[in-house]
Amino acid sequence: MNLIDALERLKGPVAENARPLKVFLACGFTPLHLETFLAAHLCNLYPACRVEVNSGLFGDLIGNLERLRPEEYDALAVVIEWPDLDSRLGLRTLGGWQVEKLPDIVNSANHSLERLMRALQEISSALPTCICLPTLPLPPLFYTSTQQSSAFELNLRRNLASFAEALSSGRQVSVVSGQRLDEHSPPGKRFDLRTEITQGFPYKTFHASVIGEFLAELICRHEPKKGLITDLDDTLWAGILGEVGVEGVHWHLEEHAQLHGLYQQFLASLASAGILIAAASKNDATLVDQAFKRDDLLLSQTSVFPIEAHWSPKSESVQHILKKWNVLEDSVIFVDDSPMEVAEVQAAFPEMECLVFPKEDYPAFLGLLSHLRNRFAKTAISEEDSLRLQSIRHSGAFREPAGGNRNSLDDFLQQAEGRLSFHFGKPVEDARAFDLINKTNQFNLNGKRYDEAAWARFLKDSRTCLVTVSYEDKFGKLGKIAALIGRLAEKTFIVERWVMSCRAFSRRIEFHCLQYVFEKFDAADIVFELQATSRNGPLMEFLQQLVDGPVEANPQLSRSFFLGKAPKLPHHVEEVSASE
Amino acid sequence: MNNDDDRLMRCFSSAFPNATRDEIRTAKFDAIPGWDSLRGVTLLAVLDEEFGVQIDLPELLELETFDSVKRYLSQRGMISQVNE
Repeated sequence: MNLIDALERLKGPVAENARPLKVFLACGFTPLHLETFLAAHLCNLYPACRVEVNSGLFGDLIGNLERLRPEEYDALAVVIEWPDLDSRLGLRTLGGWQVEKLPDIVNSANHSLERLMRALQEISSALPTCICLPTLPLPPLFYTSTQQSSAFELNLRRNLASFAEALSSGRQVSVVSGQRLDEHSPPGKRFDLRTEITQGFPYKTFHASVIGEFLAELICRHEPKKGLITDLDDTLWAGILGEVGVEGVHWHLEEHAQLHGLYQQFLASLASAGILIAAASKNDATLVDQAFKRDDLLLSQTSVFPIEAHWSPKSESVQHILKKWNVLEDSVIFVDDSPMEVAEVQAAFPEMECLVFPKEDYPAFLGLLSHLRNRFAKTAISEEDSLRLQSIRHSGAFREPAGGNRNSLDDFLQQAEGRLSFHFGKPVEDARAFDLINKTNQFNLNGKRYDEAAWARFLKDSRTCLVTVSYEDKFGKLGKIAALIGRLAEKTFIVERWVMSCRAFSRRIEFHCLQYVFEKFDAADIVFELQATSRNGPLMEFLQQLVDGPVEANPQLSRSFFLGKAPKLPHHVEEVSASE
Repeated sequence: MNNDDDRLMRCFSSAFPNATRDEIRTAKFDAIPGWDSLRGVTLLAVLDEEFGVQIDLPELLELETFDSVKRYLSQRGMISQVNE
């Protein structure tokens, strides 16, 4: 995006009722075009919002942070340059570069980092914070040649890295990747001495655009995809299994098939982070099973579920996989080396991202891995991530009990020895409820999301309460799978948000949730702040069972009516403190 | 209006979103609605981006008008000859 495009983007119309998105840009230089680019990129990422970017006083990055009122903003973008740590590390002041001053410059920069750290740790507990570390070159102030890193420079860079590492462990803190920035904005072409001196703005406009784009993307945080469906022959491994046999397929460097080995390694990494991996292959199922038993395979068979190996169209396999995973097509990526197969699946699932595996194009292969990493990116790995695949393996049993009737489901659920734990309270350190509300689509009362700042405000709001629900049975743990937010108005409990993971369907956990609410709050009625979305069909179907006639806006359910409609509730229930 | 004129007008319009084309074309810079030094710096940056010309703010203020900037660019061969 160039500056004219950015300025024109900001002139675009905004709906009158658009939700405001307020971002504070903290930097020590004149924000000028960086502010413009950040706002324009945010407008592109949040087209339904009224974007407002504010900044503070020139030359006082740390002071601006210390004066910031987090409750007034939705996000904070911090752009640090060397002069913010000590003005002698810039070119607008004349503080002296004599040899005897160098230790003091380094010490002073380190003290500034400590002060920055304190300010940012406090703010980031209340406000999502994105940080861009210095991107411009240090001036030639050290006595070594510019080809040599001086001990002073290395000291500065080490302390900066420690500062960033310590901050990045915070749940709401993101640090811009320097490596990615280098790829998009060549380090030697970023600095503009003329505008630095005449305007107090040190960036070439191209560099300002890239930083604005990266910060906007970190503020935006796309919802990650949930699963990847991969082809096998000439994709997961090199060779056609049906032609060369189990020992004939390969994925090692010495067999000139390293890209396939790297792909396996990458999928194993995704699986370990809780991403669902399935295989769809036109193949002989027995051979595929044998190939997955090879002990040199880098992706274990237990990490792949289901494996669809037969001769039917790929789209049919994909359909089966989506059903077993119980996820929507737009949450999944399909990868196959055959453009024809990719086109066939894409035609059947237009919302699915379908990619060709570039088996002979090295740069494209590396691009694919980076692309997939971004699509499945998470900021942290939760316990539920490690439980996801196991619970999906067992969920088929819940959906298809013998006979398929209510009595057999009663028996099956009874034998499952399910245990539900209701956690009442708002523990700040538990991000699971926030993730559930923001990622769940199908069993979701109204599709309303929280951003980090709104969530922080909700946690402090004593008028509302939060209930999270954990489940386990003899097949294993599902972890925290549901969250409900509401408030009591006399004898009526108003449900503002209610979500449940699709992994927990068909276990009657939703009925248990309502039973808990009636009992916990001694409520005579429950009112649901319902809103139909394009994806919350399962929630609508559930409510349909509980009300007479069509489900309308804000349906009300009386306790007596619920008790008359609810099936036998099979699970052992306990209430635990939310911090347990 | 020729292509150069369009390009230059686009630069001015993006820097001064509240000004009409007529106001941009006829007014002195400090009389264009929305003018301040930050807008001036923005205009300098978009001129640099569009025409590869580096002008300082005092120099821009001396030029005073849209047509003067056009002549300035023309004299440096950055746009086609301007008819006086």
